[in-house]
Amino acid sequence: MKSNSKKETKTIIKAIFAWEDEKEEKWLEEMAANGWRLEKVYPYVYTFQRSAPEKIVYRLDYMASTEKNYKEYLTLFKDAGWELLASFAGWHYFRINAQNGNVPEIYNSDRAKAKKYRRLFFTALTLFLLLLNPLLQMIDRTIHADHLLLRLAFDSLFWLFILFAIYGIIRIWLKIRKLESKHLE
Amino acid sequence: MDEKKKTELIKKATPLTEASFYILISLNEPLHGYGVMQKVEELSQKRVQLGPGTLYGALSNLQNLGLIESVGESGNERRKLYCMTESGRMIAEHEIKRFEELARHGRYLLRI
Repeated sequence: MKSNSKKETKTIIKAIFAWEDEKEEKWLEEMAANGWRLEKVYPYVYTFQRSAPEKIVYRLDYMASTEKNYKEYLTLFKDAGWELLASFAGWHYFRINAQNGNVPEIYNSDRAKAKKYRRLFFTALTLFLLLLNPLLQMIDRTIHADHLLLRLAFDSLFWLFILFAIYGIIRIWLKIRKLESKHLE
Repeated sequence: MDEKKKTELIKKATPLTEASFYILISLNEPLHGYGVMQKVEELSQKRVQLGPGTLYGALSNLQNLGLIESVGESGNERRKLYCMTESGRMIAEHEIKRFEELARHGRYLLRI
């Protein structure tokens, strides 16, 4: 039987940064509880579909698809009942239905969870160091530009980007420290 | 394995986490990842839960240490089968002795 009811969707653009993944999970779970089921996700763009209010657990994991056992990684999540909704830039959006108040987890210890942020940290740091030299060269070049205002605008934009990247990397590093410090004796 | 290598491996691999120890002893027979998850849950009566993220990390780690190895694939979806190695068995036995010592001393001092 074909349903004639048109599906109600809504798209939300939201800036959530790499170190705010737990905030993002919580937000998606609240949306599901309010009857908005995540359909598609692209960086900063979320499309939801109207549904009955559901108790869904969302978990974001970070894993490079170049990892040696990447296929095995995906199989493990699938076998454990987690649905892979989307993956981009190493981020994987998994979800599962919560069963009678039981909240399933993808990591059961802080130590295991810290490994996720270690992977993220090293990728972010590598990317940043690779980009740093070309960026600094660009700043250097604009110093010789004729237009003072243009020069200033470009310079501040570059510096803002660099500072923001450093801030993000420090936030991720602090997260690792916090998770791993609980294991010190 | 000579004594020196043995000592080095013990130093590097132990103490195992509870999850890793359960995974290691489960692999006394070849199992795929999900089989390990089920077996550990059954053995510990659901006390030790293994999320896929934890399991993936622990399997990689145990493999890197040479305590388990991939021994083939099973089923239609070609899931990797893992099994304990000889070094893995040595480490498991070492850990069991350590747990027994802990339990013995605990019982002795608390008189239970």
